[in-house]
Amino acid sequence: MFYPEQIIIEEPALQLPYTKKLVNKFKDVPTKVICEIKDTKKILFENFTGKKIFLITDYKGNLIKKCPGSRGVICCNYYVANIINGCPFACTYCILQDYINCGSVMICANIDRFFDELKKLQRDNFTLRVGTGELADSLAFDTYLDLSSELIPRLKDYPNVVLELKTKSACIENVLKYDAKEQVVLGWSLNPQELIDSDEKYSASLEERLKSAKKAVDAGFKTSFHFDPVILIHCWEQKYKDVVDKIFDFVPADMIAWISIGGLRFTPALKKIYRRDFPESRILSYGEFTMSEDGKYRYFRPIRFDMYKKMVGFIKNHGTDIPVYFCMESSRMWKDVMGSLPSGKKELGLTFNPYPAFKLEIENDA
Amino acid sequence: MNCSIAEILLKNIDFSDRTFQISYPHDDMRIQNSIFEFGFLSVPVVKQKNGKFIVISGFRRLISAQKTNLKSAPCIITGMDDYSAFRFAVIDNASQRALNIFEVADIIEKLSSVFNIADTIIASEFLPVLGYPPAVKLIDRLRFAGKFSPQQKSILYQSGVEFEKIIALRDIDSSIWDSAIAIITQLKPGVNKFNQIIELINEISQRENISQKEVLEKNEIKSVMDNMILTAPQKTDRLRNALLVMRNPRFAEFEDQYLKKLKKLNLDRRLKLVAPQSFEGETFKMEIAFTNAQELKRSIGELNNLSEKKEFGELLDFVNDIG
Repeated sequence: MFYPEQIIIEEPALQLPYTKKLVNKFKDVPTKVICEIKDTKKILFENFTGKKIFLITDYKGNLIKKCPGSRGVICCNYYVANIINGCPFACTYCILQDYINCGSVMICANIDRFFDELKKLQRDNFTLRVGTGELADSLAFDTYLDLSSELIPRLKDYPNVVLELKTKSACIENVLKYDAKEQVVLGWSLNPQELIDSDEKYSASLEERLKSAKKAVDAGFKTSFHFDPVILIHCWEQKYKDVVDKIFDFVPADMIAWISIGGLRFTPALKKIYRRDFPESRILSYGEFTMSEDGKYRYFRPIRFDMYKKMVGFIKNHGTDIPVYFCMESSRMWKDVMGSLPSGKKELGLTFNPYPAFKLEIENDA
Repeated sequence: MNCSIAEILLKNIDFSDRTFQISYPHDDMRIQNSIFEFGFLSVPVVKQKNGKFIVISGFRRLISAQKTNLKSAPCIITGMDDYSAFRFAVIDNASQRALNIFEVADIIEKLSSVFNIADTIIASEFLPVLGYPPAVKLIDRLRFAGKFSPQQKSILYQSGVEFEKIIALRDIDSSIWDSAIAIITQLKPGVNKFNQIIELINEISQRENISQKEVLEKNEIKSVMDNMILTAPQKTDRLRNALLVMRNPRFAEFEDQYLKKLKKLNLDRRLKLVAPQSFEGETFKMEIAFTNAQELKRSIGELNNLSEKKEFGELLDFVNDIG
């Protein structure tokens, strides 16, 4: 498991309460204070190559952003909070390999800024979904970093916000301490165990993830599941159907907030990194990939259609009302597979509640 | 440093000890001719070991001398320790000419296995001398060139194959290196095309769970490789296309059907219908080429007719309904 060998603190972050908490927690880890982090990668490569590092900053940019989506795809109105950037798992297909693969974990310790931004974003009569799992696994570090204790108790002041904590771990103990069932959804990314073994190194097993989901449900929390990416390995239909069926062995349908599906996709840059860093992995050899409008390779359209149709079928076998949505898919695919756009699916009311069309003030703040 | 110059009998040189030999190929007719005609213009360096002399620098010159039936040669005898002698051999050779990839691979291998030098030191102290940036990650790539059989090495060297193509062979099984080297030397594909060919072979083999050799033995590939009529660039394109069809059979079949339907439209050569990228989007484009108003008018008339054609509707439906 990832345990820091070095902590680097940006000087302005020294006085932040979360920084103090972390420094106190990692008393045994050497700490270095630097003036200002301008180029994270440069600092790490020049001075700390190969070390496991926690980099604590007083981040000046926006902590919450609308999920960037992609050109030509339907957006699910999700917001991402990048308080932690970095992940201890080594998923071969992960965009983080391309993005922040420098052996460090960046922690934005200015939690107040997160809540200031949340305040500006929330609106009456609609639910704002925010997740911390875009540039990090939401819970993989929670045993050490206890970010959940920084966020969850304060959520009650933002009643229209639902925080999704998405993970491939089984670290949910900190979350279960809180009575936040209406505002916290615990989410798991799932894949057949065969793929977890080969391509999601260091993550929890499928069984461990689902057992954690059951624990969460037993504590009253709603859950979410993400089949993203679906990878078309040999006999993928049966293998994914087994995973879907297994979810319902652990979690009742009415305790599932939403399930998302997304086919494997990658940029040409990520493909190069993948080939270089994971020569044993075979996932890019399955299926047929074509280039999409947004510059990413995706499975060829009819193959994707078939994949989505079957996956939705596997899920809907357990309940037609379970909210299922696609991640980064075109309107055409929505119509072909689901028969309509998300706005036409009543069960997606919460998930896709159209965000009021207002300009994001916070975007102009930084 | 202790050293002296002496005329040394060639029979007292242990040519089997190649610790310090760097040059590849090991003999060179031009050096032999030069020594025959002019003698030694540059003096080899040797050191004593176990009662014999071993060559530190000038291996090819001394071998050539032997072949020209010389009995002795002038040499500098040095008392350097082995590592210093090797460093000297590297620097001496690299200062005289650009070393080829096989020589560099051999140097790296000897530094690691004979002298136990860490990759980080090799990168910082030796790569710049050899003309490469001091990057540790480069070492494995360079070292790879030492893995070929003498025959493969010789073919690659004689054909002057570029470094990038040699390194691309790392991604395939050694059992098909001969076939891949034949592709490189006979078809002479560009680096990008060759990389794509390698990648396709790899992916087909992984997906179908067959060896890379079996991929190359498929009829579609053999028929291209055995074709005596095609030129090298034609063969390269056919080979790449055959692999693409094997790698993406559904896409290839769809594209084939699309092209047949497109052909049925009998579009004027001035009109070009462009399908959505990868048949993914919904928007088609029509390009019109014209040189004067008359041509444009004619094309517009043809476009009007086209929109009424049954075959045109069929083509659009075909693309839209592929889901």
